Amino acid sequence: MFVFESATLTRLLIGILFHGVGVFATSDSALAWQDKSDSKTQQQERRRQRSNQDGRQQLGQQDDAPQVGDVATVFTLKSLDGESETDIASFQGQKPIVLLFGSYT
Amino acid sequence: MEKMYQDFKDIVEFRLIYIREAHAADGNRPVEYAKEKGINEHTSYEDRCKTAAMLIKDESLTIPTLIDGMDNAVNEAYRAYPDRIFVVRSDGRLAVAAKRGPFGFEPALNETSEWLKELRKSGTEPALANDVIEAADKRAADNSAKGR
Repeated sequence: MFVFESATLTRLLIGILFHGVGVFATSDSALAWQDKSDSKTQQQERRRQRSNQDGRQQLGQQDDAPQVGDVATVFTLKSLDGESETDIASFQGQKPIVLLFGSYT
Repeated sequence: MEKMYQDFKDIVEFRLIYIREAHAADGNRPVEYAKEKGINEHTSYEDRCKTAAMLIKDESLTIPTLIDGMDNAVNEAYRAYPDRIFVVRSDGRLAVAAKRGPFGFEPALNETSEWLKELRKSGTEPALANDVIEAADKRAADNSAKGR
């Protein structure tokens, strides 16, 4: 009697469990959950592809500024005293140059 | 900055490039001292020179200073605003390229200092890795294909 009852109870519990899963699997919340996990995977995949394409760029600047290795844009500017000009192309093959950009503020 | 210039000016060129104000009194994000000193957005090249001269004097700088034109062309080419550091190797390629703004400035200043020390020690410019050069050339090719 006890054994029979236990087996029935077990079947009942399993039944409830499967039914529960069945309901959950077709519920809106389950679909939303699936969508979310899908899009997250897709996002990760997209991110991975992007970083493979230009990993160095991703790690470096977030803008499109010149990066290490790039050939520096040459320019000529007047000095503060207005008496001389610097053409940075003239240093090529001669000396490295440190460029410090800024303003008072 | 001035100390670095003094320490290494015998082996490397330095130029301070004065660009448009980062936080002018009449700008979007003014700083208090800009208001006190009456530093506004430059309205003319002469105005820009005047403010640059003020900086040189107040900070006792002796670094040779260049003034960006009112077209801000050099600033734009280097995406320099509000401030930025670059080291150009003698082969014309960038050895140090700061990230944008004040957050990028300090780390790049340290990086520059290390690069200069290495140059002093070894007598030659630290080499660029081949993959760095290849990536840079690929960027340049991509950009020219895009017509930039």
